[in-house]
Amino acid sequence: MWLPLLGLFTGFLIGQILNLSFPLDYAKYFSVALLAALDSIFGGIKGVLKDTYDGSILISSFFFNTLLAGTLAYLGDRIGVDLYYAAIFAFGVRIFQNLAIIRRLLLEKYRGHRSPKPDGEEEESL
Amino acid sequence: MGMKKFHPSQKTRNYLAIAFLCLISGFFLAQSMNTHTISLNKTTAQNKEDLIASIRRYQSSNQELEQRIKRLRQELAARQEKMAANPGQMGEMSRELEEKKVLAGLTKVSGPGVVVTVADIDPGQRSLSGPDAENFIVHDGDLVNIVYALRRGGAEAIAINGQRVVSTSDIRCGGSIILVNRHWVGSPFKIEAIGDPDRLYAAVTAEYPLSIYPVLKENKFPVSIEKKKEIILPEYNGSYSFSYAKPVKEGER
Repeated sequence: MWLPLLGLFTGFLIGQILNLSFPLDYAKYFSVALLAALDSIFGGIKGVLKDTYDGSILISSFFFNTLLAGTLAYLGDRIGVDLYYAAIFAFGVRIFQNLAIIRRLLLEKYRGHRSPKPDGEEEESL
Repeated sequence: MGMKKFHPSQKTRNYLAIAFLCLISGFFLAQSMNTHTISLNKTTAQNKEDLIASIRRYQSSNQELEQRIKRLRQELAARQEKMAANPGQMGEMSRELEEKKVLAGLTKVSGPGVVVTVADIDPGQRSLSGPDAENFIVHDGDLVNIVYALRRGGAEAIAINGQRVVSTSDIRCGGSIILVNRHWVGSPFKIEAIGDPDRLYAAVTAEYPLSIYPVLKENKFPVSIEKKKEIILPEYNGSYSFSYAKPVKEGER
């Protein structure tokens, strides 16, 4: 359960130690890509908690969404459409939803009774 | 069940995959944060530099333009002199023009007068911060007041820190400095005026509603006034351009 946090922390440390930075012009697209990556990760955690986890879907969504988000944001800037904001909105909303579901699932697990409530189902379908 | 002893459970394996992705994300997160800090620093520093550069650019182009005005005026003066040497109507007109130029402040002038110096109160002798700071600096209004006192005293030519004050001159606040003829002037302010030194002196040192000079003196501002036998004032190096005021011929209106 603590493995993802440990991974995040280690990755962050490595990043800080190497002290690299993106080219400034593309920093924006990397940020969107990062958001997509976080989205995939939260989706994966949710999947594990709900027993609907699928490794290939997770890995593919991680790399595909990340690349796609960055590329689309870049393309949007080239053609004058701010797809950047669309990506932020889409991934941002989903991250918050998934976080809410994860919190709910963890809480239910902690309480020891995993009886899905009707309103819980509703939230997941959002 | 035996499998579980040697291999992590399915759930742990799942988390391992996620942890791996988290590792990659964390790595990029750190870089992204680095980039963001760099870009923040860079933009503020760049903005500042850009502003300074454009101020310098405008200052130098201003100077160039003033030099050009000066050159053109000299050229004009040379031609007019040549004309004035000619007898007849043209000569008369040129002499008249020369007189008008003196009145408009377009020529360097010299004569007796006074030099008034006013300056901000030394930072060491005041509290720099807070609303009080306002009370320790010379404001544009103070300069305007002194200029008008000098005019009341019959000043024929006035200059503040080398900027000739003419009919269209502006004296206004520009933040921590004052703008005269759209030029920066800063404390200490040296206001020179040509005229009857005694009258000018009396006008500037007159009591408050008439002149602000005694008030500044009373409030411990470093001020002084000195009568001079000979002052040389520079010409006005800006331009006159009227777009609204048009001359009205005699008998009209």
